[in-house]
Amino acid sequence: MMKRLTLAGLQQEKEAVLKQLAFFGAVEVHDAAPLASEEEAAQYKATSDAPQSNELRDDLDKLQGAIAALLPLAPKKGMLQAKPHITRQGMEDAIKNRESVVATAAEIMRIQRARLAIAPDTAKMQGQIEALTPWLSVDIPLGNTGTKLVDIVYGTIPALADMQALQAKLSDMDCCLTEISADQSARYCMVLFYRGSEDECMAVLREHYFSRVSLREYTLTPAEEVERLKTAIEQNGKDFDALTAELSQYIGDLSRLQELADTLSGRLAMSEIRNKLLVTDKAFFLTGFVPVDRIDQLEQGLSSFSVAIEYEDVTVEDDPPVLLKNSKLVEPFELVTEMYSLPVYGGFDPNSFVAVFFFIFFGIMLGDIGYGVIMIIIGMLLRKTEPEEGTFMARVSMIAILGGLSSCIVGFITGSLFGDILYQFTNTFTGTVINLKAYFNPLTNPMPMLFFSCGLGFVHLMIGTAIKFWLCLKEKDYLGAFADQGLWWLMFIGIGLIFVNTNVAFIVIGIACVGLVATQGRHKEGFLSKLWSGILSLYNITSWLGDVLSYSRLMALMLSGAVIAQVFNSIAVLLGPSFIGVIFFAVIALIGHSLATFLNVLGAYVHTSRLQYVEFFGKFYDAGGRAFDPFKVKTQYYKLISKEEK
Amino acid sequence: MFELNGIVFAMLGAALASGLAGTGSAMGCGVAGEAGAGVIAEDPSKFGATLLLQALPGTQGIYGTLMAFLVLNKIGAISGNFVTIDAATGLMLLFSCLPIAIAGWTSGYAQGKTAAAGIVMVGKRPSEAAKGMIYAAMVETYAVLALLISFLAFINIPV
Repeated sequence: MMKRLTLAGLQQEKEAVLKQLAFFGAVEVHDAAPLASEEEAAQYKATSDAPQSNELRDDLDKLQGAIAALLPLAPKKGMLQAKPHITRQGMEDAIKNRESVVATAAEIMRIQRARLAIAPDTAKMQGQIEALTPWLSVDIPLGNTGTKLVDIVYGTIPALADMQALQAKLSDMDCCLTEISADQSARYCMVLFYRGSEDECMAVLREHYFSRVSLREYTLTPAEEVERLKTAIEQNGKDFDALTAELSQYIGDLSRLQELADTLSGRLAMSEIRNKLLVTDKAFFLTGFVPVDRIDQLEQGLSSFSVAIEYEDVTVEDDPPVLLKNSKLVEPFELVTEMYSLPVYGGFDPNSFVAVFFFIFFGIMLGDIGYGVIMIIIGMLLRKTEPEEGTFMARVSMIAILGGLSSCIVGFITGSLFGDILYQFTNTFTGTVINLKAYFNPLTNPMPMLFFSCGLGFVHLMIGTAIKFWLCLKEKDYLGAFADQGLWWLMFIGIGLIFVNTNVAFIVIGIACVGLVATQGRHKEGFLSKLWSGILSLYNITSWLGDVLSYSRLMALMLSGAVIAQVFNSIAVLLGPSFIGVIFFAVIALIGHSLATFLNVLGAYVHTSRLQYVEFFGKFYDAGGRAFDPFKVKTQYYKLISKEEK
Repeated sequence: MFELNGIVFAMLGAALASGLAGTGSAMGCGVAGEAGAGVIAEDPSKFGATLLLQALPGTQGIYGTLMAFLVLNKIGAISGNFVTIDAATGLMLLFSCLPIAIAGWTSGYAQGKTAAAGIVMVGKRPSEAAKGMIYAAMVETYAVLALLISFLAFINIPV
């Protein structure tokens, strides 16, 4: 539950109070209420904090750029390493050196820019070398543009052009064409002609598709130019290495940069909050939402400041945020519910049920000790990064561990360890067959498994309707509770009684049918449409059937997982008992079961979620809440801890 | 030719299950992969999420192969010791393969298109990848149900 909070404090303590709130992370600040009148507005000062925000953003950009430049050079850290810790005091210390650290960052960025400019420069020169290569045998400097009477032009003629005809035509003119080199597509030619006959010469040349090549940018002979470019490229390479070395000297500063980046992003968040405050000369006002159960802590944290705090109850119209509260085992599964949608404010939190059934369904679908152990190991490795509680990583790792555990339990019952790998291996390679004891084998007893899956689904659905029933009672909608849920229960009881006593069963079903026809059209206008809606509602029995049968996927995925594993195992032992056979077995089993783990886990996750979202939530869930987003220091490189933990 | 051995029909069933369902998956993964490449061109960091979505239509092919393997195993094609079955039994095996062959083919392709749409969505809203996966899973339901019926039809055929 949330309360609306209005906090009034002294202007001189504003920064300290905001910092306290930021580290406390329990208040969602929202925009100050619009002021009633202009006179009232005149009492407040404009609170724009934009210049400071922009400055913070500039500094942050520099820091992030510098960090991005240094990270590829820094010694690689393992992927699964926990973030280092930083305290509030550590952040205060970091900000003291803001100017020098930002200056360092700017210097790093300058080096990095120079370093990154080298590659395009080198590429450009390589292009030039390529362009000069056909002209290498020209032995006059390219800067030579001819004499007073003779002009020099360079150009290409397509390889297919008739050179003899061209030469014949040119021989009558004051023009001399020399072929320098040729490749598949063109001839590279140098043309000398008398300046007075330029127009006619060029006209003839154009007829033969001569196109000029400008080499004006070069002054030396092509060979000398290429030599010069090669030296420059080499120099570029040396410069790049030198700059890289220069950059590497700053690697030691990486942690300082990261500390400051985290600190400044916290300051930026504070600066954005400041824009939401109402401020006078002496005081400031802050409004927001706070979870009821954290009010005591909040007051304690602010007890050293002269602040006045007022709490009001909130209603749904205030658009309060939703913060769920669940036990440690259930909390990770909030991830599953959040991917659908949060419950509306004050609505029913289904996570306890989601958690229990996710555990069961996931286990049945994956259903193998081997895959389960892999999940547990992956979950444990992810937890090594010490993710903060409530983050995606923390939740996923817990779900992986719990899902793996559940899968191991089911695998133990069905005697499944990477399918039948033990049997296949021992049968082929050792002679004495070892097999896991199967307390229940779904491959040989598919029908009981099918009934069990659908029965479990029916229980799941009934819990859904029971929740709806309870929610209706809470809202004093007794008719809704008994007509929409109760009558269907009566119907199912009747269907169940068919196996006991047909006459009683039909009477019960009849009562349920009459009741449904009488009540299900109650929101319609007019007798006929009421009756029609009532009759149509009986058709819902098919959707119930569909919902229950949908749980047969529990069995289908369990079977497919088991058979896929068996397929890989049977392929793996194909080469029989020999040294190569064992190698082959190891390789195929490793690849096969890696693939199978990926596919089975993906399938189990997706289909478990679907059963929750479509079948279960469809029966009662009121979705559409907005997540609680408290004002809080969010760090990227460090984990913020309070002093006591240190 | 008149004394048809049922093995032929069983073989046809296995071939259809693996071949048709595999075709559906191949088309589905193909469509999804094309969409994925488009998204990656803009932002390579979304490779993980798009790959998960692309993998979803791949399951039909596995279901089909799985059914084919069960049939081949039953008639002894894998060990090489073929059993002798009459034409009726062979036809039963063939028909038991049809649900996953047909539904695998069509649902694989349809799921691929849904997954492709989900991948495009990931390009714009990476946080909603899970919802795209659920949409795709809705399509897969019918491949799962077909596999179930194929399996139930197959499991007690006497050989």
